[in-house]
Amino acid sequence: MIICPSCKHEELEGRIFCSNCGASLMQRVQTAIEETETRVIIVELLDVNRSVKLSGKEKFVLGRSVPSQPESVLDLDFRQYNGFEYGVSRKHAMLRLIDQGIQLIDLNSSNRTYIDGEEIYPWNEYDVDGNSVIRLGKLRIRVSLED
Amino acid sequence: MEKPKLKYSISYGSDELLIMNEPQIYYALITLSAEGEKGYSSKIPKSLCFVVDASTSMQGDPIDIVKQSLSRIPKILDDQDTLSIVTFNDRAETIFRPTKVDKIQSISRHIAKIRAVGGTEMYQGLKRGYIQLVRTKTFRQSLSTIILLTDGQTYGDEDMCFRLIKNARSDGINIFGVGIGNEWNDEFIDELVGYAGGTSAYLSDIYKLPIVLSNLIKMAHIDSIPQVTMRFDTNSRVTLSNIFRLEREVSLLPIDNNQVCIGAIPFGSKIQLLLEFHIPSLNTDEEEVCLLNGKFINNSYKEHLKIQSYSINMKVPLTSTPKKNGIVSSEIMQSVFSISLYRMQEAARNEIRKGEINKGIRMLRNLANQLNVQGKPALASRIIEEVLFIENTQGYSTSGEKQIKYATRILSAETQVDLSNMKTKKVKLK
Repeated sequence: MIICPSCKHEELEGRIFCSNCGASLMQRVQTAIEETETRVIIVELLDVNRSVKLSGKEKFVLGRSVPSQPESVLDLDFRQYNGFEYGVSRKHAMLRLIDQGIQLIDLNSSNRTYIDGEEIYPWNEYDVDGNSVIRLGKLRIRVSLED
Repeated sequence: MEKPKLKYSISYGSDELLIMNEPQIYYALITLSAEGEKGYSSKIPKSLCFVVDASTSMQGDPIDIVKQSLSRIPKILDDQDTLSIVTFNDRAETIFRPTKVDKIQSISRHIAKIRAVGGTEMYQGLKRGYIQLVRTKTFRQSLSTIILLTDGQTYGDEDMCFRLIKNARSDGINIFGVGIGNEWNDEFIDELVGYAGGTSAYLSDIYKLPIVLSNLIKMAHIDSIPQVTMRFDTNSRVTLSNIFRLEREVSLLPIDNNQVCIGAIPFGSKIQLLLEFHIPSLNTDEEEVCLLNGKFINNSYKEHLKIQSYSINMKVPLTSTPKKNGIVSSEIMQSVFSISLYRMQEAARNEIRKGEINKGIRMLRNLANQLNVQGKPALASRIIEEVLFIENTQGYSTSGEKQIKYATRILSAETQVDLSNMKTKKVKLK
């Protein structure tokens, strides 16, 4: 079974495009046979003046844990950065490494995700770089690849 | 005249099929073309029968425009062609018996008799139209086509219509459907015409009927190998789940008892069939799996139009090691992409019908996003407009359902996927 990297829809092996969101599923196949990801994403938390590094994977789930939710599903937990007050959902968004950079996918969050002030559609992939200000609810972040 | 040859080539989705302990999808593409001396079918007289819905709902502009359009048909046919017209409501009526065009003196006074009153019993009309064609003196020497015009839905006689059209197909008769307005049953008409290799057209503006009819008549006159059918058997473990014809638009071809009617293969251009196989979990020591064994034939019982049959065998080697390169050929990827937007639209429509409004809306938004990516903002905006309507009313607008369906169907075949950009689709912000 293939899980669409964009919308999480389940598809049979061999499908080329997701029947739910139209995203290409080929990247998943290629990624699976490529070597382990070594690039590092730097996430700047603009409202709390901190930076976090994400590495070792292709996809990173951003959100806010609660005691009843295992923290392990999150790659970046905003609970410690007052995520609740900023309106960050439990599973808010995903960052994904692609050959050309980073993609951002909103995971159908309650308070939505914005790029440079514009709301993005959930489950769709958007290219982002260090010039984009991303807002998860009200929490502003910036993402870039480490040199 | 020497009989033409049918040429075909097969592109496989990948060079090898990965052995997996779970089901998988496998795609293959068949490209068909006709080769030989031109004029094979274009010199053959055509016999057209218009089967016209004359139910109460056609009253007013629709029936008036239909009558005006029918009056002009003899002018766009060849002298050797034959024309007939039947109408149907609760019953069928022959308005104009099969007559060679050069013998037609006054068709208008016959057409003037058409009145739009009563219900919609399509089988009655199709049966009468079929009889007109097969009883035509020149039936055996001509290529016959039914052109169905309807604005409504038939109830209870759908299976009879299917059976009739399958019989008509075996007699070499083709059928085109024209749906007028928004109330007709496009899924039924698509399946009906698909059994004979025909297509349907959606006419939202009745004033465009003359253009649509003129185009259909041109299609009927295209020089081609008519009524090509593929008969096949699949490996007992493999299912041929869908076949799409990729031409100017995408058509899902109905599979009927291991045969599928592809329709006419024109000279000078190509028809592509995208085959979608469902492969069960494989746990085998075999070196290859047979996907399909079959043959192409043409349905025409008219000996002089028959071509030789061409056998087709599709098989793919099995492997337990995935390859980095050549996972899916670009040609297959392009073809699958060309049907994906249409299928997304179909999936959204099904969800909304089931009452899964939010799911359907999400799919339509995704579709709009993909259309924006492909540089089709007008259709994307139309879909977003429809989404807002659905959010408010929990259902499609009167015209929305069919507009989106037929727009994505045409668009899908025209859209070219940028394979170089496949890994990083740049999605525009709304």
